[in-house]
Amino acid sequence: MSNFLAEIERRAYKQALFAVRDEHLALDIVQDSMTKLVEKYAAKSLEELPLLFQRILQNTIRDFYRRQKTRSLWTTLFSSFMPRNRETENDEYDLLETLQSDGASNFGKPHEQLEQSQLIGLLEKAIKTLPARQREAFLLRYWEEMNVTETAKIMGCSEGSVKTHCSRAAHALATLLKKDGIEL
Amino acid sequence: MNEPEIGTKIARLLDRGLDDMKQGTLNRLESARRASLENYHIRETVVGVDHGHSGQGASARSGHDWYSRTAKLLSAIALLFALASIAYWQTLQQSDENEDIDIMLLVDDLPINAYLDDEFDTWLDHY
Repeated sequence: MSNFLAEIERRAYKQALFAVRDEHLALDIVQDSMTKLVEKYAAKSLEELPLLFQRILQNTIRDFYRRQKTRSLWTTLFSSFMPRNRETENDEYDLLETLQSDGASNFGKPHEQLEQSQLIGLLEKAIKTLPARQREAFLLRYWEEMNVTETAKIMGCSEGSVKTHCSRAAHALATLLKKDGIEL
Repeated sequence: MNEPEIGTKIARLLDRGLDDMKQGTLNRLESARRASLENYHIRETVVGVDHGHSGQGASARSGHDWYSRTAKLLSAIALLFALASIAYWQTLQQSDENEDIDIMLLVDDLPINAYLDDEFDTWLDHY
């Protein structure tokens, strides 16, 4: 169990960080998920642990979203009495729909400006901008190396939805990186 | 480039990014893992004790069961008591109303609307 947790903790943290964009919250989510896994499934075989852990992690992230929605509902209710100064950010923002209308990139050519860490930084930033379900499907499929059936099980959706989310996420990321002068 | 190729390349880059994580974050992750595993070891020890000394383990478990059963039983009793109180209070209310009507009948102080009510006539015939 210890080795398994040590192996997955960094990726789990990054996944949580992409979703919630707050280091402390991401750490809390990972710790919660690890504790739940240990409490409930310590007796399970090592092969079953990745799927179970991912399910717990994604549910914990979704719980965070739910709590945040409830909180923002109250904030919206109260802020409706105040004058509006700026546009609110849309949660279901779709990168593909906005890329075409965006202007020129702020970055130069990668071989001139970007070191590998900068490239990774850009990539992580791009992943953060993906809609939650697309990001979840893409990371589970390609980073966690789950198959379509396992990903669908974790996400609680159909295999077709997983394929659609993955395809859109991959193309969005490739387009965004290309826009920054990075050819994958 | 197709989707699996993009996915694989991005995953490789993300893996490389894991090496650049801050030491503070890594330390916190490690302590989070240790905290989770501590519970696991405690539970393992308890299970071990259960197997080794089944009498003690069983008594500890049965003690816990006894508490949870008692708590459930007390909750059920409290609920029944609340329901009985409501029923009793409603009966009292009803008898109070009947008492008021009896008094008004005896002192001949019944409102005129009462005589126009067919149900009241039926009730009077009945008594």
